[in-house]
Order: sequence, then C-alpha cells, then structure tokens
Amino acid sequence: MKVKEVAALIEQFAPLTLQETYDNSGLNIGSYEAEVTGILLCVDVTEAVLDEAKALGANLIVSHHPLLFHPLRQLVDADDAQRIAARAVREGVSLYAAHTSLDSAPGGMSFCLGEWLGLTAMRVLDPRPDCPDAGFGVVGELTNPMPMRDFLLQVKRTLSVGAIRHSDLCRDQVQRVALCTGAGGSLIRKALEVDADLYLSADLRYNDFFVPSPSMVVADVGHFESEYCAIDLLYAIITKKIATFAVHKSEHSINPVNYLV
Amino acid sequence: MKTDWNSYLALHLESRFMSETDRKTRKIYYSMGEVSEMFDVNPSLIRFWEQKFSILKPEKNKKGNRLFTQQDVDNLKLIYHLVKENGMTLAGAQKRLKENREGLERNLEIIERLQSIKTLLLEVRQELKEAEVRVDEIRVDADSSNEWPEDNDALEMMESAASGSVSPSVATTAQPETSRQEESMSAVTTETPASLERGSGPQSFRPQEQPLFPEYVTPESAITTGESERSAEGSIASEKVSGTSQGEDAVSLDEDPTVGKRMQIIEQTLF
Repeated sequence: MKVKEVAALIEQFAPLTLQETYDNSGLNIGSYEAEVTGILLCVDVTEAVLDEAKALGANLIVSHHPLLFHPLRQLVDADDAQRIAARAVREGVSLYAAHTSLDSAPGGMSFCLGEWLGLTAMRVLDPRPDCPDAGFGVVGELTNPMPMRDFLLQVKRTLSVGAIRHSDLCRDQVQRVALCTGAGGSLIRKALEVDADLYLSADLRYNDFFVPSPSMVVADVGHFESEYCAIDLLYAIITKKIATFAVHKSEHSINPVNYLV
Repeated sequence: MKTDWNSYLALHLESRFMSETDRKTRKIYYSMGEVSEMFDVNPSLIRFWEQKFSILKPEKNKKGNRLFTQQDVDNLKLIYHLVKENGMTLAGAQKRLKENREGLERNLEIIERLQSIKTLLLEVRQELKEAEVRVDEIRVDADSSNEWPEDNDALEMMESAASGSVSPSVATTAQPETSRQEESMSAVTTETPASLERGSGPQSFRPQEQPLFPEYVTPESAITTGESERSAEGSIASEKVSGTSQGEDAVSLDEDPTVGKRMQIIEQTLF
C-alpha cells in the first residue's frame, strides 16, 4: 500500500477541503508513491518521534500538527522544524498531517473528545456555512447533571491534565457541555449562544476567563491533553481498513508542557 | 471512558459516506427507470412481470407512472432470481413463490452473504499479495515464494462453497445427490454467472464498488480486527450455511462434509 492510499483513507474521513486557509494539512514531506512499511501516529513530529519511527521500521508518520506550519525560508539546521524536515527527507520518511481538517470533520476531534468525556446528543458548535455537519467544537449533554467540580475533576483524570485553569465556578451543576480541542478561545461566544453550562478548550488567555455571563464556566484543559485523542481517532480510521502493516501509536509523542504542582 | 470505535466510525463515517446508498434504500418510491436500471432489464420486462405475478403491484401516481416500494423491489429480486438466474418458467416461478417464499428469501440472503464474504476474501488476498511483493522486494529470499498456489485453491474452494457446486475431488460421490435435488439446488445456489466468471479470474477481478467500510460488519470485523476474532469468521460462515438446511427445499451446504473442512483450510491458508 502506498502513501497516497493511506492519505485517501484519512481524507475520506477528514477531507483536506475542510482545513482552514492558514493550515497545512496533507502530505508535508515525502512521496505519495512511496510504499508504506509502517505508520507511526503522533500529535507533534519531534526528533524523538522520528527516532521511534526508525526503530519501528515505519516510513510514514501521521501527525495532528503539521511539521511545516510556518513557511520555511531556508532548509538549514536553524530550528527544529528545519532539522526534522531535512532528516525526514534524508531518511525517506513521509510526514502527513491531519490538522484542522480532522478538527472540522464530522465526527472529528471535538466529537472524539466529547465521546471520551461522556457527552451525548453532540452537534457542531460552530458549523461551517458551506458544510453544516462540519465545523469546530461540539456541544452535547451529560446523561445526568452532576456537580461542576466533580465533572472537572473527572475531566482532569480522564485526560491526565496536570492542572485545569478555570473561571469562577458560578454554576453548581453541569449538564450541557461545549468544547473545542486545541486553542478554542474564539468559540466562547458560541458556547454562550447555545446555553452551555461549561466550555472546555485550551490555550485560553487571561481575558477569556472574564466570561461575559454569570451562567457559564470556562476551563482550559491543556492543548496537548485535549488533542491526544487524535492518535486514537487516526488509529481507528486507518486500521479499519489496513491490515498489511503495523500502525503504531507513538510513545514519544509527549506533552511539551510540564506542571509543577 | 472506553470508546467503541466501530460504532463511532459507523456513526460518523459510514452514515456520512454511504448516505447516498442509505438514502436509496430508505427511499419510499423508486421510479420505473431506477428499477429497470437496478436489474439491468427493459422496463417492458418489468411491466410484463407485473402482469404475470400478482405479488408485484406497484402504485401509480396521477400521471400513471409506476411507483415501486421497497417491497416491490424485494419481490422483483425474487422473480429475477427465479426467472432470469434460474431460468424457470413463469408458471414454475409463480408456483415456487406461492409455496415457499420464505425459503427463497433466506436462500437469496445467504447467496448475497456468501458473495460478500468472497469479495472480502479476494480483497484480503489482494492485500496479502501486495504485502508479499513488498516482502520479496525487501528480502530476496526465494524460499517463501511458493505460497500463493495454495491460496488460489482456497479461493476456488470458497467459490465452489458459494456456488454450491462440488469440488472435483468429491465429484463422483456427490454427483447422484446433486441431480436428485437438482431443482431445489439451483434455487439456492445459482449466482449471477457473470459475477462468478469474474470471480474465477482472480487476477482480473476487481469488485466494482469497494465501500471503504463495508456494511457487512460481522465478517469484515472478524477478519480485519485481529487474531483473536479470526475463528469467529469461520463460525459465522458455517452458521449461515447451516441456516440453509432448515429451509425445506434448501440445499444444506453443511451436509456436505467437505464444506466445514474447506472453511478450515481457507482460514488456515489465508491467515
């Protein structure tokens, strides 16, 4: 099976047309015609992940974040992206990223996280005008209302978050939860519009915690933590069909953020 | 929380990408054009069958155009199976439909199931072949290269299991029984000849439509999800086959002692 066939499989779930204009999902490095010897799944492509791929004999790395996100002006060893890009080319490893295409796809990242956290009746939080089934974020319901604090602690455990930053716990109970994986500060207003009790996302800024409503709590569960489900989602998509070579979940795809508690 | 990925993907992917097919099957009415295209026959033949078979009575709209329900389409499937595939006379087909409709439906379902299993196996073999080519490229080790003929045997056996015919090695003993049950046999076992022909030339065989995640979940998942479930595939197949024997005039494939063994061989060879 060739790289392009794996790409087609992923794109059937998460078409590249769903990616944002600033994004660079798709094949970043390598060849569509290369025969795949194995696949390694990760959130970020790092040197450690490249080492891991080499050790596993995998020549295709599928990541959530594209290595080439900001355009390169030169290919020297000035920074990590350049070093890794050059190494991938040298070692014949193809790098494929499913980033905002996987975020926006129906059943994509936020659905996946919602599923993990036990949300039901999920729908897209910010539907795309051209494709209402797709878009960033979801809003869904917990089967039974539960104390806000207990739910946040449960999220912390489920996602192994070092610490959750949150606004004032102005609600005792939570049932309707809106969430968006990755940096989703811009969707707070959307969460208010759907009357969510709680909005979960990552990379929230200081001012985001001044929620302009006394009825919703916002919480930052960490970028990596909210997006780790990408690995399981990609694994499910790819292994549903491919059986002729191994698909590995990276053990070296780790959170660059550490918590001192 | 543990995610059930099969149902997750089924919900989010299959419903999305198979929605056209879904819509078709859920559609309330089919037009004459759609139905004749479905069976690849002239509308005149369907109108003719409508006169001859009382079970076939499509509604008509104000303009007089026929509106076929899913039930009509299912009935047409049975008629097509008996008349076109089995070459029965109209009178014979009418009689059969009256006498044992349920048995017929079961048989059709089994044939469809076996065909989809066959398609799946061919697909698996194709993938294994591709893997084999790669392995050969990597290690130029001539020893492992004589495995494919066995695999061909397995597929031929699968085909004969699917078509209910008897494999050459047991032809002499099974022959008399075959002719005794000739009529009922054909009811169960006739496949579209074209599809069989295509199937028997595995090199040229390419399923026309390969849905990414086929609907027939059980055999699919049994094969693709790993070692622990592989044995389940065999038992599903044989369970289906034994279902046949309950139909009065159905040919019981599981009475043929070679079938179970074939299944075993297929499994062993493929995996």
